[in-house]
Amino acid sequence: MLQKKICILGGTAVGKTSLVKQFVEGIFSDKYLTSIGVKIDKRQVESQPPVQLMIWDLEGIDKYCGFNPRYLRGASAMIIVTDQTRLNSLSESLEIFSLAKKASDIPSILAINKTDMPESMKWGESNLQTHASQFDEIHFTSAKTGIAVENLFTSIAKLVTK
Amino acid sequence: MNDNKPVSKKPTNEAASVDDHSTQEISQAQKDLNTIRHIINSEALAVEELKRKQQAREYVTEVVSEALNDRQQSDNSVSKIMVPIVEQAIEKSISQQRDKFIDFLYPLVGDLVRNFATAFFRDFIEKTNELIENSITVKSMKWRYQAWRSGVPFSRYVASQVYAFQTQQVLLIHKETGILLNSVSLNLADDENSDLVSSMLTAISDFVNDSFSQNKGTTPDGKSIPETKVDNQGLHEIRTNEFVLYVKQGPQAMLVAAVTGNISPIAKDKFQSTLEQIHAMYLPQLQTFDGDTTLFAPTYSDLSDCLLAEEKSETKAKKKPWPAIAFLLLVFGALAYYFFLSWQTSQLADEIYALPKDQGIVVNKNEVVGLQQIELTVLRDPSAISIKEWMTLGSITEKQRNDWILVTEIPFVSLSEGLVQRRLGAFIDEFNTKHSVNAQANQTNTELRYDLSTNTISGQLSSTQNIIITAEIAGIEGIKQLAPQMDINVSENTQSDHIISQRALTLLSGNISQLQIAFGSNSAQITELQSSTLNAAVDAFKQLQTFANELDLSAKLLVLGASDNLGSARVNQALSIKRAENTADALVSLGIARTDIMTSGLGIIEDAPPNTNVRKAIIHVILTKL
Repeated sequence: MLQKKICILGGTAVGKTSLVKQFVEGIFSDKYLTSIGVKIDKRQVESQPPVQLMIWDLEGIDKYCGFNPRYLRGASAMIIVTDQTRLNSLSESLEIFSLAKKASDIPSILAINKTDMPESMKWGESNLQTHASQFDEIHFTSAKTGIAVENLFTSIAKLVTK
Repeated sequence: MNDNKPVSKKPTNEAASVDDHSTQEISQAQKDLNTIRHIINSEALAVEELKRKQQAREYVTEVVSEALNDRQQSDNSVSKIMVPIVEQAIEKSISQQRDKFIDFLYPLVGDLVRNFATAFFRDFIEKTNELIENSITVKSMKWRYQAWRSGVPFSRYVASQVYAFQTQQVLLIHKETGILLNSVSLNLADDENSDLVSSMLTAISDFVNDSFSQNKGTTPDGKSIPETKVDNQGLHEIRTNEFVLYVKQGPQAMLVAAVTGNISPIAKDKFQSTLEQIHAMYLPQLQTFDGDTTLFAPTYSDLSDCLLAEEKSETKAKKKPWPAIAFLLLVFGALAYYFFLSWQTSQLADEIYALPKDQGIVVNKNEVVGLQQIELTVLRDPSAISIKEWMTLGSITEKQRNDWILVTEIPFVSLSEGLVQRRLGAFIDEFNTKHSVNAQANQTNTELRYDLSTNTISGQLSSTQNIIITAEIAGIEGIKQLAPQMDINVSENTQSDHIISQRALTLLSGNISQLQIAFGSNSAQITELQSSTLNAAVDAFKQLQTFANELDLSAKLLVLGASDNLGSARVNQALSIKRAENTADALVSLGIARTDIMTSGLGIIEDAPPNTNVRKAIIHVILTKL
């Protein structure tokens, strides 16, 4: 079976770990994320061909904690997660995306998280217009309810096995 | 002479066609020439190619063996490449020439089986020894306790005690992606999350490298150090309480070995050389790795070679597997003892069968029901010797008699001659004992003797005693077959013995009552067959009358006739009376006074037992006081 390394990046508290948790049952606890900046989980996706995703959940990037491009080495694709309920989240995510793209020009998917709180939405699709083309796919997800989470990872599996 | 042949001029178009024809011929010739040229060139090329191949063949022939040898010596890669090819060739050969292979292998099979059996038995002894040593010895108990106290699995603790070091698991990891390419492990459970562990190890290695690499910033004199992409602070060892992870870094992959104990430098070198070998063999695959780990499946054998272990010196010394030997001896001893007891019990059963049979004891059942357990059922005549005495006739010990044999006696009457003689002898002894006091008092000699050799009873008895003895002897089972001779001196009664007379009277009355005269259906005729019965009745009655006179009693005979239920009651009544009267007449004709006989008819006898002949006359004695 194919194995592919996938990285999940994004700002702090956008829901990266929650998205991964919603998708997998990991054996390593979250303390590894805080210790060394990454936590790794795995899950098999029944695509054609079947692929096992090694998901590297990288710690949230902000002004205090910079971006470590080393963890992107060998990744087949990345997921940039952004929080629809925070105004600055999209711009932060785009910045992280551009840094990541410089380090590793790999396929990417934008995951717009926390769509289960429409009343708290601070920005919408219109904000994406100029940037949408930079991503291979855009998904609206909710780690809390599980909406589109499976689709997200199924899509990434298809992307990496193309 | 003129030729009168007309000269024909070719017309102009004919001339043109001739020209065309010539041109065509020329071009055809050109074509043919080109074809020939092409053929010649091709052949030349072919010849050139052949020559080149021949040369190459010659060159390779000169060096192929050495080259293969050198390559094999340097990195063992030749055998690795050859293995799958040879396997396929063998497989094809066997499937196509099965019979030939059978012929080749047949002579080897015997040796193979013997060697296998030897190796198997040796391995079995060693494993049994190991099992016993690890299960039920003091040392193993101690280790179990210590393993429990340390919270370590017992097998691992044993390994730490037995081995100086042991490699538990080896991982081959793609450096860039952190993906596990292949792994081997002593314990299958360790393989479950090896892929996650590999990725985390890669992440940790990246973290360490990132945290401690001196690849940016400025030197003390102010010059900047450019960032370098070279990893100069890679992880090489991770130590925990239980084991050490040795990390060997290569350009494209890393090899991680989890080792318990103190590893030797040779083993460490083995890890390094294995990693280098894998890089040599799989460099293109490593460089273009896209997630397909199946390409690295053949590395399994290389990784397995890294599962090294070294025993501690005190356990290394070859020792005799005493616990296994002791255990096996115990098992064999127990089995031998069991079989011995089983044989012994079976022998005892045979001895019982061999005991003499003609002593009034007949073996009905002689069954071995367990170790030292025999169920014996015998038919025993009360006159025979006891079972205990009977067993002493063979070689059965007292312990066996008492503990091994469960005897069930079923009483029966034996008619064997020896036993009848014994019965007779016992009767005579009893008589002598009973009458010895009386004999002394009466100053008579009433001792009886039985001579076995002549089968004769002799002695001296009074007439009354003689009658009694004769009657009683007649009652002994089997006496008719023995038929002893009676040589008794009968003397007159010296004094009246009422008790004896009464006893004689009773005996004789009983004897007479047992006599029956049988008749045919619808008949009251006395036949010749009845004469012995009638004579016995007459003799007994005459003797009885003697005793009756002594006792002042009057003795009469009552003859009763009976009929079955065929026919009417009236007819049967008359028939039964007739039967009684005819019997009385027969008795009279033999010397009994008619006045001493009374007759009566009973008619139909109802409720007779089945198969009983009720067409008879029976005789009873009636005694009355005078």
